[in-house]
Amino acid sequence: MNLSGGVLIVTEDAITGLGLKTLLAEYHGVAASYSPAWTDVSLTDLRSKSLHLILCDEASLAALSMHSRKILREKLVVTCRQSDKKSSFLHLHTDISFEDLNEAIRQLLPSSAETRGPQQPALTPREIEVLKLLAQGYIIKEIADRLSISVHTVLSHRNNISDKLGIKTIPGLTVYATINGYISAASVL
Amino acid sequence: MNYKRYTGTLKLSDVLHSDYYLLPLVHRFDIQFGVGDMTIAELCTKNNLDQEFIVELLNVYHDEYYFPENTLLRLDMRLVVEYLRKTHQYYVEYLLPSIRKLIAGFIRTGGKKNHSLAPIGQLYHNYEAEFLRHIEREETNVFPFALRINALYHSRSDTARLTARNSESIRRFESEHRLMDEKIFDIKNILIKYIEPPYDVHLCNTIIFELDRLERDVIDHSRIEDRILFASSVRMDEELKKRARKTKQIPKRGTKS
Repeated sequence: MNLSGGVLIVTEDAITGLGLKTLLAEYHGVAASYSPAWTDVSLTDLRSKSLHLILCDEASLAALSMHSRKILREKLVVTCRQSDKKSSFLHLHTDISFEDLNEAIRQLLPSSAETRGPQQPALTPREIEVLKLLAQGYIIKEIADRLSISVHTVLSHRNNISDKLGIKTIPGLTVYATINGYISAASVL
Repeated sequence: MNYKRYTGTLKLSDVLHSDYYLLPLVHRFDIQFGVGDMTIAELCTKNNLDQEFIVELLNVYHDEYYFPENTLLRLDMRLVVEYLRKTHQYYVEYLLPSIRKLIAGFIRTGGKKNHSLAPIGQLYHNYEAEFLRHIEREETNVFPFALRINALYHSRSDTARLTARNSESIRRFESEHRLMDEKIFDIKNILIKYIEPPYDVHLCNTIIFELDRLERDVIDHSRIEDRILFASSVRMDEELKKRARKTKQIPKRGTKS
């Protein structure tokens, strides 16, 4: 399967899958791939560095082995309704306004940073989530609790973010997050 | 890298031409230009300055790995503190406000639509405020402590009990210095890597140069504090404790008094 767009959608719900694919193409210029099941995609393709984001629903997530979930954790975002019971993965609510959905997708796309300027480093969706929380003033333990991951994992994300961006301090990361629209200036001040 | 050590017999003009980052240091001793071919020793005599102290300072500023092991306890800490206070004054009254004004002007060059520049102003404001708080804490806590311990040490007094509880906390200021260095580097890096046009490129370059000048000066200043003032204070404190133990004023750690 050709995954050249950097985004893969996996769900048996064809309306949701094709809707997301269209939205990504029309509003974000991303040629996402859609598949109703994992069987159409090889693990090698899934692990490829050119694949930045995998959107799947809870049913598709459940079909993945624990091993695959672990190695794909950085790329996986689970689509669900706001009222659904949630796993520890990042979530994208699909029952929100069109504008909010578009904004949420924009923030998930590593390419959203790339389109803002040349040579911008691509953070993973999880790193972006950690960056946003750091920039909003949450401490490492609070971030770990909110994302249901360990403190060690948050620290690992924190180090990766600093390495990729070349920014070591929290105020510096906050400015980066503001410039790139991950948080609003008002939420910092 | 091994640098040649400066000595009092060298012409000050030759020393300054070898390293222009020493220029602010010389001005902090109120040495005016027009020094001709005068040596450091001659200038120190003329201006009533402590030659050994100034030569050590020039060497510490010039070579980041230099540590004045042999002369450390001989240096007059009153001179060190006086010099550090003058450096603080230079930051507070000149360099920090000067960069603040440059950044404010730079943000205006982006116009109302460039939202990537205003956060730089906020970041610098954050750095400046924290730096000023750090300076104030040093002026009100560390310097008086260093002067007091220096006075006790040179008075050959046995009243070490007065100083015994404070010397560990001085180490906290060393870690703060490292954090300040990281913050100023982040500002330079964000300017170079992440801002968006339009903006005045020449003004941007000036700001980066000025930030770099500040960063280098602060690193050198911090080294004087860490390697001379703090190190000397800790050593004097240890010496005073030894003296006190001899006269049984304070017990060794882990023994009952």
